[in-house]
Amino acid sequence: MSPKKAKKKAADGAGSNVFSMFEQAQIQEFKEAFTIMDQNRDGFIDKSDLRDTFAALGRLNVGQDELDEMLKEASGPINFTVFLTMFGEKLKGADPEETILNAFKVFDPEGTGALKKDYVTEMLTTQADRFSPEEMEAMFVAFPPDVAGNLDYKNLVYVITHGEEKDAE
Amino acid sequence: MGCGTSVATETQVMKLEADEAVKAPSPALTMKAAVLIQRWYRRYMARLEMRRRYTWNIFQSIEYAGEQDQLQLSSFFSFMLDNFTQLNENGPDLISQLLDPVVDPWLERETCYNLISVPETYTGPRISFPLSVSDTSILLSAFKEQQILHARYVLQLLYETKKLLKQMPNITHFSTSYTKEITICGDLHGRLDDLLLIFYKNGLPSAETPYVFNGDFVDRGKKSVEVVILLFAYLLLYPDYMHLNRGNHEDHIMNLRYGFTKEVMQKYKTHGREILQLFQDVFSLLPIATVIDGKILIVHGGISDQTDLDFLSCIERRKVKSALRFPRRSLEQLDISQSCKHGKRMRSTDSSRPNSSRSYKSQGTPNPRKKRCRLNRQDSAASSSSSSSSSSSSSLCSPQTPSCLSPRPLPSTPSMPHGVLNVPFLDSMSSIPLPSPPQHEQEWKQIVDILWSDPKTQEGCNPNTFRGGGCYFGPDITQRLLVQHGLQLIIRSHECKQEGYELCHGGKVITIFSASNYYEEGSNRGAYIKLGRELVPRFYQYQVSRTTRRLTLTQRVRAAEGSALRALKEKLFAHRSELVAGFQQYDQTGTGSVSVSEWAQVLETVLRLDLPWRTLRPHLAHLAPDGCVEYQSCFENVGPGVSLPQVTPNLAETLFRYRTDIEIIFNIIDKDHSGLISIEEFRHTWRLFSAHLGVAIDDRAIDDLARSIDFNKDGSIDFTEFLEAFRVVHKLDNKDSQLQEKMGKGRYS
Repeated sequence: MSPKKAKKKAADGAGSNVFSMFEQAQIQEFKEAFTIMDQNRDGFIDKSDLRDTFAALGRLNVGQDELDEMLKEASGPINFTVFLTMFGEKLKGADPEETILNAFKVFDPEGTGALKKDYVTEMLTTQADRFSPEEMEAMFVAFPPDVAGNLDYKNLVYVITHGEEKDAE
Repeated sequence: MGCGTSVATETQVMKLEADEAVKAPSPALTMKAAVLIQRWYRRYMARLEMRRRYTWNIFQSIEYAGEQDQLQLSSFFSFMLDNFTQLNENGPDLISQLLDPVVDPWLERETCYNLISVPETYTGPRISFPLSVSDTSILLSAFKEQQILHARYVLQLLYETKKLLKQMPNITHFSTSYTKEITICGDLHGRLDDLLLIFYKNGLPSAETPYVFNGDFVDRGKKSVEVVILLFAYLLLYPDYMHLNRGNHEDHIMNLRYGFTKEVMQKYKTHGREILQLFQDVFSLLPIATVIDGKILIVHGGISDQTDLDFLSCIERRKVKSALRFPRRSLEQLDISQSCKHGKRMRSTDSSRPNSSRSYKSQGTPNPRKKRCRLNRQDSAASSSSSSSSSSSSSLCSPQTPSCLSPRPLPSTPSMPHGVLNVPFLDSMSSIPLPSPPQHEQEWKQIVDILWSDPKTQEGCNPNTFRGGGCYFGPDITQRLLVQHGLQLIIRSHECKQEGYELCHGGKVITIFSASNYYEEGSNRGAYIKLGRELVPRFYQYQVSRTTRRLTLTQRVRAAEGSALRALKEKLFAHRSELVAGFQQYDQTGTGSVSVSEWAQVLETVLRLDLPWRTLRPHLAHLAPDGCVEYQSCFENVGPGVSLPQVTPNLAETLFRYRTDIEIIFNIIDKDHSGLISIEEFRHTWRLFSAHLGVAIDDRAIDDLARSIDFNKDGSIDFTEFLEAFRVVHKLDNKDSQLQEKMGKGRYS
């Protein structure tokens, strides 16, 4: 759904309607995620919390710029109802391992399984939902390239996907 | 862009395009790929963050819930003290000595510690008084080498500290005019490594490096004794440059539960009692606040809407020995001698001189000693406490507070011969309304507010029921106090913070916490503040790391999470009966499963922990094929360490839940630290404890239990062994990895 449509829905003041879009159990789940992110327990999450929140819910494909635009339209601080209204309908499933691998493979047409650190940096920090330098650095700290500067992306994808599975048990 | 299209379509599209554009991917494809990777990775980091946060929630909730349990224990002790006739005739028993000591004349005499000789064979640090820099250096090196200071020196140190503190006012005033910068540290909780790290990074206390330590030096950590000895030693060495504030753990009743008492008893088997007695006095003599340049207030917990610094300056702080003992009012009419003592203590005034020698010229704050404030305060305090309704009644919900009581009929207790316990029910005994001077109450409340309160984001002030003491205070309360006293900032501690410090109330309140890795290795940093003449705080963070190998973020989160979940599972186990009863209410047909919502509801109600249960569900229980929770699976992987003799579930759970408390009680009763108590003592204590808790335990069950654990039938119980049986064990710990994997993977969906 495009941002415009979402804006319209929000403007309709669909406060009560949004709760009927979901099952009770789902809403409880979202509420919990929202509450976890609302660190000071004041019922509102700020911009940085927001990104983490719906990303943590794991099922959202909203771009950074899009998010910023939407936030500009939100009339006030984001409480749970606003959150659901604006983003609830965008929930999706998680990307399987293969999808991510294929995404990396786009940059590795020969299928070597590794990418140059500098190339990865350029690829992720200069386009689309740009990584900040700090984010890039954090990724390389967690998944260090070898001495030649190669990042083993297959391992990275594997560790994250399987690590997440393991932790969810 | 990617919002509306399904993932499946994208995958297909990408695969197609990837196959075709082998050598030169189109820009559109490149972008798509980048987006996917970015989002996926961010989601992973966000999930990690979420896990970290709920792990934090778990630790905090359990910690504060534990503190609430503490109230049970303290009211139990009060009750024991008030109703305890001696178990044997060998002098005043330890409990009364520990809880409510008469000022022992023996301890006041100058030469008491001289009676203790330090043997030639002693290899620990030797110090001499008055202390010099070489003495503190000796102590530092000795403690780094894991040595223990001899009891004689400890007593002498405490005695000297007590003498010094008596001359100090309730609120210390300090000025930055005479020094470059002052360093402010928060909770240490017996973490010697953190203290040493601070000294290493920041310098030892001296005229050039003055310090304020904001309370909670002891409890929880293993080196509370060493930490507090060092702090007191530096206090004696540099009384003008070393400032200590009292924290809520500088309280002998808290110490009983949170480890300080135990640590002292273990390290000082012969003289532990005397040492603890002196600590009790010293703690109650610690100043409750520090003010810098008349602008910055430093207190351990926080404030309430009733906090009045002028009033606080005037009171006799040493009278408030423990926040958890409401001003003694019970049974005064039954024990005339005790009430005389009590009255005497109230009337006696500390011969504390104006402390102009102690502090620098305070800027603008009137000399508290000169103010004849007490009389006025009494009137206004009394009227304010009666008029202000619910806003900040921070009574600790102790059964002794009249508002909480419903009088119960006294059970008919047979008159017992001397030497045997009386067991009336706690509530009925305390329902006797007793007059208590408002003055005394007000003082107690003001101090408890300072030591226990927490800031909150919303405006207003309400009782801190989470912790059981003090208030939650909002930004308006802060503002009011700052304006009222011409202050600009409040620095407090009391709460563990991820980064070691946190600002709130628009930067007007700073929390500073100096015990790193408080909940778990890697859980948080510690920090300290440096303040120069411009009074702008600068923060310095650190983290003590025992492992040389650097853990990745994921590993740290996983480790902390694992630890939190174990603690949570133990809690579930300890409340098994109640929980199952709750589940069964939703499961009338006995299917063994309830919906996720119902499951969460029961947990919330029984455990009273505000946690994200649905998010945690995969770690705690598993689902039936129809998506309902099989609730018995909550208790699967935890159990008792030893197979228990014929013990009813009720009894077992109580023992699990209150294991720590029971341990404390046993340790107290075991005067000679032999590890053994008599069957009689065991029985009496147990009966008393269960009566207090309101747990209906069959007398015979207790007797059976006692007899069954008296293994050598000599009439005494090795209570350490007994308690070991009631330590919750995680069954999976002992299995080999194969079995673990079999059980672990795919277990919970």
